Amino acid sequence: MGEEAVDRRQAAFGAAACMAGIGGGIARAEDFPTRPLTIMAPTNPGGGWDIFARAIQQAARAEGLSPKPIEVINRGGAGGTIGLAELVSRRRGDPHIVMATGSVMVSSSVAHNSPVRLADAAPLAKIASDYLVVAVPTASPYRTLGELLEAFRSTPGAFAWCGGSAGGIDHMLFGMIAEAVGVSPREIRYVAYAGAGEATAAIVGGQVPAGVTGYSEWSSLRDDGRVRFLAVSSPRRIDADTPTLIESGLALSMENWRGLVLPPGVSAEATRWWTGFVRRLHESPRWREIALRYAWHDTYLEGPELARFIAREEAQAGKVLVRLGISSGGSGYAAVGPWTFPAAIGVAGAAAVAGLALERRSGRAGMLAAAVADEARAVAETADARGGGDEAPPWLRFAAAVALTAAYLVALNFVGFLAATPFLIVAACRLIGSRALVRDLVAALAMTGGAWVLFTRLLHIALP
Amino acid sequence: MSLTTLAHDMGAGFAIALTPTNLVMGLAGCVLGTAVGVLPGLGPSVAIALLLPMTFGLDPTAALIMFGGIYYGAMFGGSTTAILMNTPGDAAASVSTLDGYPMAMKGQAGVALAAAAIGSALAGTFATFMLMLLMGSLATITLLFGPMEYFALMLLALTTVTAVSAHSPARAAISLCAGLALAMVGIDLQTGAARFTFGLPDLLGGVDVVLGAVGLFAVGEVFWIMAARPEADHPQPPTNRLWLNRTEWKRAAPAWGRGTLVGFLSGLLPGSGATLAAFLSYAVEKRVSRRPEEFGKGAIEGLAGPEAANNAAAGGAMAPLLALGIPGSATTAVMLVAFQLYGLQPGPSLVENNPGLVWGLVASLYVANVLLIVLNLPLIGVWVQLLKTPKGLLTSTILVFALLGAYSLQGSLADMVMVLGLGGFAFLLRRFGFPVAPVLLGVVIGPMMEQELRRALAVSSSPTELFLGHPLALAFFALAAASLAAGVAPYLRRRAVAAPRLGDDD
Repeated sequence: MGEEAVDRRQAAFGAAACMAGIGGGIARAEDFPTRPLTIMAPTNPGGGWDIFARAIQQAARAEGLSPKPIEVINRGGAGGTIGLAELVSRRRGDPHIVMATGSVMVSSSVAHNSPVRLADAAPLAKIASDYLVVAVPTASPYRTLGELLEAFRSTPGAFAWCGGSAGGIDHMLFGMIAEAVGVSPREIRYVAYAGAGEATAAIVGGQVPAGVTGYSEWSSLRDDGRVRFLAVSSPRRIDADTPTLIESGLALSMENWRGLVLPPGVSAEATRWWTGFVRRLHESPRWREIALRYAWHDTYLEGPELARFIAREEAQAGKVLVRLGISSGGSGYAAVGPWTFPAAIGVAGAAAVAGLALERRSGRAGMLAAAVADEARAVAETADARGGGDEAPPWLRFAAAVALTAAYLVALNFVGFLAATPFLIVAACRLIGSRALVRDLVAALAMTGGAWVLFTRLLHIALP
Repeated sequence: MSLTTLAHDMGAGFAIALTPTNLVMGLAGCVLGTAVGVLPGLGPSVAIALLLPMTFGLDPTAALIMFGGIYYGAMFGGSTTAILMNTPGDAAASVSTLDGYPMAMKGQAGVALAAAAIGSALAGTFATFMLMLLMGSLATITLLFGPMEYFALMLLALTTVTAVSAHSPARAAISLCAGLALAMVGIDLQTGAARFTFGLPDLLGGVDVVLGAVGLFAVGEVFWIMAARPEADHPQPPTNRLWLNRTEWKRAAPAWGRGTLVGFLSGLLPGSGATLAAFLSYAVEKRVSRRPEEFGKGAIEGLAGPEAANNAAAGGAMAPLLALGIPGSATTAVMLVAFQLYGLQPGPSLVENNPGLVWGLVASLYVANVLLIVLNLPLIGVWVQLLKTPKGLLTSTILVFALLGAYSLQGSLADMVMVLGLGGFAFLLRRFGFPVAPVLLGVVIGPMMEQELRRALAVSSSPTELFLGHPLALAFFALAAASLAAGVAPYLRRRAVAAPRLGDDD
């Protein structure tokens, strides 16, 4: 904990580069790692990278691949770019962390015009790839991709497809298919879902005529006869029944790759250890068994080759997303744009404010005066009960409370949880009017210790 | 399925759930779940994700039994601090502050905690019973809901705002709009556009519902107490009883029943979840009550209904998970990962291939409910002692745990800053007489309502189809209109009556 706090603080100061040098000197191949290792899954628990990270953790544990325990942390949001931003800034030079990554991060960073790109991290290895499928509900009249695309081409605007978030690989594949059959990608209707679960309900329930998703996401539903696979995006068939897009006459293939990257500025020794780790993982029987279960295909690449691969992917994503009208500035196709709803809320809010003004005006003669008076009285009563006669909580105390909390958050960064928390508790007690300084101090120390044990020891959440 | 096979399966299930190991795992899950439920911000999904690596060596059934205990336990625990200190342990318990805290202020903390615990246990047991009986057919309800149906349901949920607003519909509407606006922050799912992020990468992910609940309620309450004057250490009325009396039973029992039904149905729908269930149940209670004026001032129905609802929703969410592999909530999403890591794929084949696991899990959910009520009823006496803790210590402890809870979600300092900001915002709202609950309602509903409407528009082939092709959605629209009319009518009536009287005063 102490060490980690030191690491983070220096990273926050931006003195990380020189620290990485010192850290690199310590981390010789034989005595690295010195601390528990972390795999960051840049998604919420349950997302694709979360499953990938936890599968690595499981295999590494079963095969004894790391002398130190490996933990998985989640940094969800924005197609993984929030996790990526943390990796390349706050975690710069930290050799004890790697991040799960893949195709979706490449396209999201382009689609969201993110200031950080995957190329800013240090590529470690691409470990496995999943392929995409085009699927329809079982009750659908379309039995082959040809039939589906025939119908789609005649009325593209009346034909919605579903998949993952806008600008992701599902969307990209749909756009490329549309283009290949002569439909402008800007004319297509795409319905984005946040996770495979929601999209699953939509396709199994027949709410959407067709969908694109990862092969393994729906393969068990296909086996149960709840969806029908029409085509797979792999270069060759991966099961006997599903034809590839190429066989169906479209010169398209697309992989959803998954891999690991290190933060920038990690020493050569630590990088060498991690490379060895990934190679041993990749060759272990346990990993092969897990990969088979998730239908992850072996597409191993490491180091500089991976860097070149990522550069190609990014360039391709840029081109496709521009044609879809997604990247940099373009808002993309949607029946209702991204600003319609906020505008509606604005109008509703303005109407509510006008309503409030009316209430107040007619309040002179209406019941709403009574309501407002009630409200004010309720506020005053609460303050009364608490403040003994004062009609409202004083602003100065509120400002002090906010300032105290803000100061605590800043202090957490510099001196850490154990040092900052007792001060916060004692100061807050004083603010509320406690006069028993010794009692407060003892309680504060006990509380801090208790919370620390609960979080770091029992729940394994590292505190700052 | 015939009743004999069901009885046989459940018998086998109980034999598995009641083995010493599994019983201990279930108990550990219940205790841990209650603990994370009580602490603001820490929720069952985080707890299960953290425990996952430690269960790799275990029998999957034992691990899943523990996770089931955590899930139900957290729903139990969330209400405790909501009732005692006005600081909900999780988002789903926020509604319990509306009447639970006023009950505690009146000295009925023990009664409130007992009502919440009994309601939770009854609802959890009912949900488990339905799960056992109809797992497969329940999951088909999940599939009836398309974008338009969800949109209609969200619209119905929006009208419940008239139930949670104390006095003025305009003020509630302003709060609701503020919540909806907060919900718009972040990346737009349908187009990838960044909205209201002001160039800050930390805002790209939007405002998490858990952060909303912790910031608006817990941190807001802390600031409210801190801003009161020092002499604020006024004695709280002594806690009168730890058990319900006859009148309270009579008022709470129907509320538990209605809350269970509302919560269970809401739980079956992926994404809508326990928080929405609690809001809907509160609105139902206020609507059917003969004493709507008591709501917000400590009406036991207003606590009993939502508490039953959020537990029933947790049970309901297990049906699509087990029968189709569709996770309906953050917690079931993590449980799905757990299934997959153990090499299991939820879906119809799961019941065929691993009957022991499925029926063992279902049986253990019954056991968890019994364990939780046995665990929680004696604890009520301990919890109410918390009210005797000096106010300063109690308040600062809540503040520390609220901030740590926000941090535990993503390990992000930005999230702590966000709850600080939301706490300040909640204080200002309260100071100027605006209700806080509608803000959270907006944060919960906003994203789903918008996304589903846009999906509905993209999927529909024509405007006629959009409206006439969805009878279920039409029914919800009608209910929403009725609910809105019933909610606003009293104000209009009161206005008509009050106007001449107050006019005379002028």
